[in-house]
Amino acid sequence: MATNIPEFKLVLVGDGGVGKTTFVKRHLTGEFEKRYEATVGVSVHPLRFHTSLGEIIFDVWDTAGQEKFGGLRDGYYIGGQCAILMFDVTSRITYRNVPNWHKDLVRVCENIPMVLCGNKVDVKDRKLKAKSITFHRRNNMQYYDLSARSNYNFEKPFLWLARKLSGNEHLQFVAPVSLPPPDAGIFLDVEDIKARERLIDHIMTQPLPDYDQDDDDL
Amino acid sequence: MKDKSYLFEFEFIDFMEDLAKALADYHDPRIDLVHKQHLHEQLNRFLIDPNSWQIALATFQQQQQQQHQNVVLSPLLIYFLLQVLEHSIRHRYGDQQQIRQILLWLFLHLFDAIPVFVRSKLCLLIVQIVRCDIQWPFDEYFQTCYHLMETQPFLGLLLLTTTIEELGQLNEDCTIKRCNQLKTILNQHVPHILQIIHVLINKQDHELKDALLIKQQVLKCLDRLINRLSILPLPSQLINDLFQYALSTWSIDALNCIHELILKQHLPRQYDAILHASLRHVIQLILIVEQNLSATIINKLTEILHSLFNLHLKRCESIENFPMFELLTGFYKFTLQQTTQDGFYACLDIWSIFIEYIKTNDEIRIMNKENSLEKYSQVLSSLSQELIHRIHNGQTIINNLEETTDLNDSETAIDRYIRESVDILSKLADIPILSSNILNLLVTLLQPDIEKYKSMQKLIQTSPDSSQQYLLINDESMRVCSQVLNSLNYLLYTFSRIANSCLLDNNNQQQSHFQTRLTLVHQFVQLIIYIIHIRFDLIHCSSKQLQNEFINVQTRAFECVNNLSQWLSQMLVLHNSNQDNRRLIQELIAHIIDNCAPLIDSNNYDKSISISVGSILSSLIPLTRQHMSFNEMNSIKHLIHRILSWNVMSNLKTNFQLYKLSIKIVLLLILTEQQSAEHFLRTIFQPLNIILSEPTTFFNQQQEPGSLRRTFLEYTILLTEVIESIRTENNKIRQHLFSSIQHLIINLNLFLSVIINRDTECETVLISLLLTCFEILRTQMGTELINTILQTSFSVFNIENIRNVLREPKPTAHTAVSRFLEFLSILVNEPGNSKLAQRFLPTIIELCTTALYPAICENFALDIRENYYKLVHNLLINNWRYFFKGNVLTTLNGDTETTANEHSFIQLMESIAWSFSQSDIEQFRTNLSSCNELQLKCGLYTKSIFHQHMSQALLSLLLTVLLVRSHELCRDDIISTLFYILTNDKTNNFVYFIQNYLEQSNIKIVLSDKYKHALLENYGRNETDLPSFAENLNNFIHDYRHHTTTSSL
Repeated sequence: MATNIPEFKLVLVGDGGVGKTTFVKRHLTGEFEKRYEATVGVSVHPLRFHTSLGEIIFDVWDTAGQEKFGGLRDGYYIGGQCAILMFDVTSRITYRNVPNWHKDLVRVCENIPMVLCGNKVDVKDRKLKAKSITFHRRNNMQYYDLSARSNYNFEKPFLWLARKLSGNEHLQFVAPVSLPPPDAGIFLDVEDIKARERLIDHIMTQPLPDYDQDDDDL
Repeated sequence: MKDKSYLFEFEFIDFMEDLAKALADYHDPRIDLVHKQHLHEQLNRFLIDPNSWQIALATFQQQQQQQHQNVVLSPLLIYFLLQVLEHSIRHRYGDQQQIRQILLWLFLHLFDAIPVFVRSKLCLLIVQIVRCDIQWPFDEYFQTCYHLMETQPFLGLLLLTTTIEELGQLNEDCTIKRCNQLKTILNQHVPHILQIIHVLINKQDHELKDALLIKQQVLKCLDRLINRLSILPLPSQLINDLFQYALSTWSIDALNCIHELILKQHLPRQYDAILHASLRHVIQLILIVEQNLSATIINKLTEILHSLFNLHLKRCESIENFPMFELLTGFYKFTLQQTTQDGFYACLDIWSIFIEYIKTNDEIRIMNKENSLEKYSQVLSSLSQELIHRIHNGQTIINNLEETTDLNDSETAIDRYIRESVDILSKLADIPILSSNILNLLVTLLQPDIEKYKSMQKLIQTSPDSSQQYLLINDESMRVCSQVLNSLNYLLYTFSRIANSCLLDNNNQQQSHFQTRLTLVHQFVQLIIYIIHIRFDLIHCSSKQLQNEFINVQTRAFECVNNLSQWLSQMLVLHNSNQDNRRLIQELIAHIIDNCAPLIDSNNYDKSISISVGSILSSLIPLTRQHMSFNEMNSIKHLIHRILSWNVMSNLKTNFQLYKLSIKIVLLLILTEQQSAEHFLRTIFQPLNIILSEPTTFFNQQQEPGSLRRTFLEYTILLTEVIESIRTENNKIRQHLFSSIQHLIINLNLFLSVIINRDTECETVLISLLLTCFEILRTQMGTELINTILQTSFSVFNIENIRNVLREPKPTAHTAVSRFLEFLSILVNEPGNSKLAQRFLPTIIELCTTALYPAICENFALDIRENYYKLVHNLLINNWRYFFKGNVLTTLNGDTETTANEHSFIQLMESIAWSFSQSDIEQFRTNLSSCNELQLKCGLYTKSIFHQHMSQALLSLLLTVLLVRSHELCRDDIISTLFYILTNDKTNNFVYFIQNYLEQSNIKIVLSDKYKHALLENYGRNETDLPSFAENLNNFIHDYRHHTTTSSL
């Protein structure tokens, strides 16, 4: 990685399942990951953007939304220079939790530019209408509707943050996002991964409908 | 001994140095990610180790002992060690008293030496320990805070702010009971806190050390307090002083407090006076706004106004003597004062709220015989006039505003400016008392612009050899032309957006009114015809920009006519009995069609104009076809001729879109006559017919490899679109289409066996066509053809084949199967007694249970998953009687209902239940609502087979999902599903269910008997309504999680 390219630590937070990892993966590979696998701890991805002022790198700290897999939690926010708070417009509870994510973030990172993103706007059954999304209004944040699936407003949060960080409101992205080096995600230790597996095992071992006894009916 | 202790200390120092280095490296952006991953594992292991708190405590105590030696730990290390202590506080291990003492010591003695984020963490931990440590009396804690306020006010305020934010939070570190107790304690202290805040706000700067800092923190504290409160127990003098402070200082923190006040909406009546006073004070604020205020302040004021308009308009109107007029005029002035585009848009957004509000209330007002709309008409009229002028002079106005930073990819700054302004104007034009004035002003401005446009024809010159026309124009004229074209463009856009609202005047049905409107519409039609004949876009021009501006005007003019179609259609209905008026409208429509149709031509290289024309014809032709035969219209006859001789395959890429559009336009007319339709469609689809009549050559072609395939794909898609385009037509039209394409459908069905497993794209396109036929031409196709199609489909998509295809790792290989599942979903959508569905049902179920479900089980990420579950849902809900044959008599007689095809039913349900153990949240949610719909429509949860084989397992699975919080996005849906399952089973209830659930061996490992009993005692209630059930269950989950995380250690 060239040393003179400006690099910014971006913290990505929000409830589990709102689409944080999918959003980052979309930037990394261009693919839309349909399968949900909870992020454990944090996963760091450098995302490169070509702007009218030159290249810029966002080191995206994609944090665990599910408390169970939290790892160092607010420890990940230290040194954060900008942030994206994400919720899911099809799930009210994820929007209700936005103030908590915001509060935790500002305690560690004072006065950093933040973008609030309502993901999954492509889903027909949208529960949170644009008018009821007001949190950003009282906190001097930018808001974007987002769809990782349909690429709607895909680069907008990064563009807004890049403008704020560079202090240049006219900065533009000039070339498509290039593929970064292979993912070197950071995960929790083996014990935590095992704990996660145990959780899934537990669910899986719940008795499902027993139909052996009905074999005679065939 | 002494030596050993010395050695221990030495090792301890080493360890801390290592830890500090690890943390510094972990947060250093230059360190590579692989090394960071290693560090992360080490740090996390240390963080959750139950013995680490002692090391953290010892480190801080050492710091305490060495305080005079100026040894300061790194902020990263302090923060991390605080996180270690946090873990011990939350999980209730470690010596809480010692931890509490050291936290307070750190807060008081290191405060100045540590960065803000560490200070915040310290405050947070102190409040955290108040929450968790029952040994620390609340009074003692609050006395500490108040004492700090007197001795070190900034520290005291910081701690108090965090206390307000965190003390009453519903976190799982405490039980529900404890959380409620904490909330009550905090509420008891609110009056005293407010008193302190009030005193500090009123203090003169010279009375305070670091006055600015302290005032800021006081206001932050007040802001958080108002935010937390669901009531407003603020003394009115405090409100006055707060606004006074804001007015004199424009402090952003004070404005934040005001914003929080305005955000309160649902309050007990006793606090009305506080809220009303706040609303009045806001008007004072906007009346004194000056342009030299910073952007932050202006933005905040706009947000406050946004909240006021959004939440309180009704309240403001109901307050006696509320100065609504001052509010609106003040806001009007504020809107015009905006110096940035974003600020202007934010104001328009607020106007939009206001307009929506008065429109919604309009009906109520009319009922109450109030004429209050008129009292706002003056300011709204001024706004509309201002907007029209701003639109007309868009370019000049926008240059004076600071540019926006937020644009769509397809939009320029001026595009957005015009769009936003027209959005509001169109809302204003919907208000009856304003619409005429708006239209008149618009036409007044349009007419001279149209005349100027026409005068540009004089600039056209013909080259000496007559081969080319060009614009003879100098730079100055070019600038003037450009200006005229732009403002004409904006006005035409405005007209196209508001024409329908303004032209329709339901209150005025007089002949003179109709004539005026018709004349106006005629003027526009003439403009279009002028554009058609002059074709500025084809005239050579040295400036590309100017040429684009000509094209923009042309496209806008077409848009205007296109949007008039709604008015024309309504006029035809309204003047149905007035033959003269009706004839005038029909003539006008025919006139437009005759003039537009010639522009659809394969030689017409400007596609955007052809597409615009196509869109006009698509909306106008349906209005006339009942009264006019296409044979009477030369323009249409010529169009048909052009389409039939259109050599489309030679220039496929550029013309196919236009070609398809033209066919659909002609079909709108031609399908009314069987013979003509048949001739037309046979000719069009001749290339496809040739391929289908010789299927063997499809994969054996020697020349031009791929061209047959391309033709097949394009024409099959075209055929699908043609069928799709008659979705809303009547049976006669459908019959005419079907008769014309029947031979193609039969041959395409046969062709399926030729291409199966050989070309996925062709397969998918073909299945999509059959799917569309099935949806739209079902009745026309008849049972025999449908049977044949189904037999072919099932023979090619047999179990073996599907298994093989789904094993293919490439996702594109599955698209045909996925489309086939959609096809089956439609088939099983037939009513329960459909013989067709019944006949194929066993095959479909077998396909589901032996091929599809096993494949999904093997790989849940399989892309057919969504369509599979859609099929299962449709199959069950539409064929319920295939499984449950009971009737009303069975129920009345109290007979036990038997289940037919029981095994199949259980297997299908199992596949749904299995999806609840998967992490895919969207599928989880879909299947949950599928189950609930099956209950609602078919009574799934009341069936004994459900109680015997599924209910218990499903309930346990869903509760487990809630307890591990793995599917929080669907929490509300899961809870309601649990409620419906439990309340529909007479043999089960919540208490019985959770008793059994908590008895499970895997639960007993993590939850002791003591806590199990506590849970059952507190939440063992059979609530009979959903909200109470949900609250009880949520509290149960909260405490279960609290006990399992704190009692395990």
